[in-house]
Amino acid sequence: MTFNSLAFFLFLPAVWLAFYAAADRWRWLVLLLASYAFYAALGVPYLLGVLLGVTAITYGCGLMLARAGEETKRKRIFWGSVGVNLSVLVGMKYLPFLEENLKRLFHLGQKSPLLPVHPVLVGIGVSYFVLQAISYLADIYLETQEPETHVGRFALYMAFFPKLLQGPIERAGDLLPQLKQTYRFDYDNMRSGLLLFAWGLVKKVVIADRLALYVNAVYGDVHAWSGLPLLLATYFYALQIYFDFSGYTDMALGVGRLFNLRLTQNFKSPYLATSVADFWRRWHISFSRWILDYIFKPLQMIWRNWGTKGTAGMAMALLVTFLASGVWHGARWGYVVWGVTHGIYLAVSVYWNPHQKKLHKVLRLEKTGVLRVWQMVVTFHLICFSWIFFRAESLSDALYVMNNLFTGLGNYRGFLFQHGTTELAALLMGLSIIFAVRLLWTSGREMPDYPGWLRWAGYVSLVEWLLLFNIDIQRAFLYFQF
Amino acid sequence: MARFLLKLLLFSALILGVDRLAGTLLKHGLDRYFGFDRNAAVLLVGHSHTMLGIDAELLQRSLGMPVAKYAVNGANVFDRQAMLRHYFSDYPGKVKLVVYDVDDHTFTGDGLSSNSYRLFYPYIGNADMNGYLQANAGSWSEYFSRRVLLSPRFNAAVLNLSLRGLLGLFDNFKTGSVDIPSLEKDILAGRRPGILIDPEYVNAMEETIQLVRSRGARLVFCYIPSVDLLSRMDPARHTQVVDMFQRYDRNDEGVEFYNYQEIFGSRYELFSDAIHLNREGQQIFTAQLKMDLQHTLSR
Amino acid sequence: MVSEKLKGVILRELDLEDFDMVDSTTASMVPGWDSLKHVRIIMAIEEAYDLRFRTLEVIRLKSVGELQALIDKKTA
Repeated sequence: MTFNSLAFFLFLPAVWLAFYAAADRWRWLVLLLASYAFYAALGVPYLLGVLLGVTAITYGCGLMLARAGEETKRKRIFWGSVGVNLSVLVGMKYLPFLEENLKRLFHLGQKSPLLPVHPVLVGIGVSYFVLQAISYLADIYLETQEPETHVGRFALYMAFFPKLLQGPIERAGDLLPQLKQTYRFDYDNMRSGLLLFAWGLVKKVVIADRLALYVNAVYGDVHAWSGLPLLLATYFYALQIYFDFSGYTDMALGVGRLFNLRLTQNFKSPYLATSVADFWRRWHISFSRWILDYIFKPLQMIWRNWGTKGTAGMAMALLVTFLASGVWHGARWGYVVWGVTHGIYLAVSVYWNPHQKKLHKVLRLEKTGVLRVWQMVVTFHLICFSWIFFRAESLSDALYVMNNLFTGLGNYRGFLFQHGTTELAALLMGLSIIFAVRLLWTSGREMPDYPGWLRWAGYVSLVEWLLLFNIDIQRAFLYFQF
Repeated sequence: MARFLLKLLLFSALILGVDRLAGTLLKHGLDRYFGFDRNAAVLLVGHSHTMLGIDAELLQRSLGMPVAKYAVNGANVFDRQAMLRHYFSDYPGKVKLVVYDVDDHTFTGDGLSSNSYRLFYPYIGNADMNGYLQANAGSWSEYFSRRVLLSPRFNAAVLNLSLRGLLGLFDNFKTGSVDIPSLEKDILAGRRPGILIDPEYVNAMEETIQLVRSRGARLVFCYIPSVDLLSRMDPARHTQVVDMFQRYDRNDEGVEFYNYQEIFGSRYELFSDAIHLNREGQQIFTAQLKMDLQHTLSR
Repeated sequence: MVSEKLKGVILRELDLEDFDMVDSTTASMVPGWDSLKHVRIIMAIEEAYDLRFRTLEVIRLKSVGELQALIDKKTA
């Protein structure tokens, strides 16, 4: 079940009541069973098996790793367990993709004896919990973390349902200690958790899914469009993916709070970033920290003697890290190109940065507001450009979009009004409200500062807004002119 | 904990109240927009061709009898059958004449969204419409959430109509003119839907004819014009469709077919896009329709 | 005990006048000590002490004190 389904609205209170009613020492079990039930409800039975397998292997290897004294043994256990986890990930996500491309490369027919026939495996959640498992093992290997001895709590650390499907990827040091704490009913957590959940839901089903209606019309048939609509669709997509993912994250964090658990914040106003490096400190934070700590830093250290003061080594480490990032996102060339594009942006900035600093000093722009705005605009556009490859349904589509962005105004009216004026008005109104609330929020005044009746009016309006303007993307009524 | 649960209950009650209020208000607006409060003697049924093509107020004034316009974007043959059942059961006995818009694509499913049934959730309270929605609903949760709550029944398309009903904005606001060169390009590129005749749709149409006639009302099939370039795309099939309506006309003296495609199809200045009349077109077309209806009604 | 020599190398790389460096000091506490500078610091130490670190040893370091202990071990 997804967060925005009726089933979940029944599941969550039931789980919470069971959690509350249970004795404190069994609460972990309630959450664990609920998490497994949640995963099983997806209707893909072998996924639960994969989760249990990965959990068991990681738990066992974690203990073995900590107990092993000798370095070579430690190395073997570590790389062995990481290898198993990675092969699970690769097997589930990339086998069909590899097979497809090998076929094309070697012109192999459908029934080649070299490639076994197998069904396409679905891997929702696997990408996330495998990375989490690897981070757990790496932290033990690097001796920054003690292994968890309580198998139930470890299993919960792996499977906790709010973060199971799309992260955040939790570090052992962040989540495990929280799972050990006694639960005490906290009114503020309940209130803020529900509010955060509702807010995330709005971002997803009112804003993101609505933007998708417009984006899908263009990216689903790129050759029917040219010029401004392509540009607008790309901007819309940049917003869509942000609201979708950050909305989901808000829902996950909100649900976590209901159980007094603080999950990692994944987003911090990413489009206000002043450089691509800054962007990655604000976007999908739990993931970028993972690739930073476990891929980039080691590679950067290994290659520190390349180039003057290790610059070439660092650039190479960035390229490899972001290539991995692209590949992790999925088995499509579009994702790979997207990842490599970011790698190139960052590698280039390693060389450009010192010159850039000098330039700003000479032009006397250092630390000015103008510079900040300029940097934000440039960065946003660099990111949007990379989203073209991420979203397009094929590389040729992406290249078409790239080449036709500036061919003129195109049928921009058709693009904007394809779903009617009310839909567009709902979209613009929705975006304005989100930005207004954000401004209010960052202006410092905390929620409880506002009078009770105003707050309640706000909450009621939020829910009513959700009821009136939610989009069911699967069953969207696509407005054709009939 | 007790304090929290109490607040949660209070909040839920508040939400249900607001939902009820909003839903009732919006339904009232929708009823007004369609003209359900008029005890109509003439009922216009159709989709956007009717919405934009016929000025119901003008028709009402000229005919001297109440006219309701039950037309929603994208309504197909099946939707309209449900619409008629709904109207006849909620407002029995008054309708003398039904004007039903048709075109080349009346018997086609392609090009129209298959989710047009969702537009009718606001009328889930009517037994006939309820049955139709239940049969078409994508999932139990989709249907159930709209049964229990009122607000989710209104999507953006319908919300637009409700607001217009509440504010009294019934007019056609489209003033522009169709872009012929780009339409020609689209036709050449194969981007306009083709004409198909799906037997299921034909079946539904014949059931509709029976339905209207059994209620003692006359039925007028009205071919509201589109830009003639479209009907010329596939002249054979176009003729086929026209013949079907002429056959219905011949077989029953209570059924008539008004074909306006020939008269208006080449007057491009009356169209805001390939298939919809603009404001001027609406006025001119309604004037013509009025004369023909007067003639029919006097017989 | 953080030696003056080590402290000097670090301060020079970070372009800082002074910073109170003790055993428990971590990179995040010191202004400017990000991942880019971190590598440069390690390289500068390797040059100053004429030694070579293995990646694994260096990745595990959590504080300046541990860094000092590692240097002491390698120069002993």
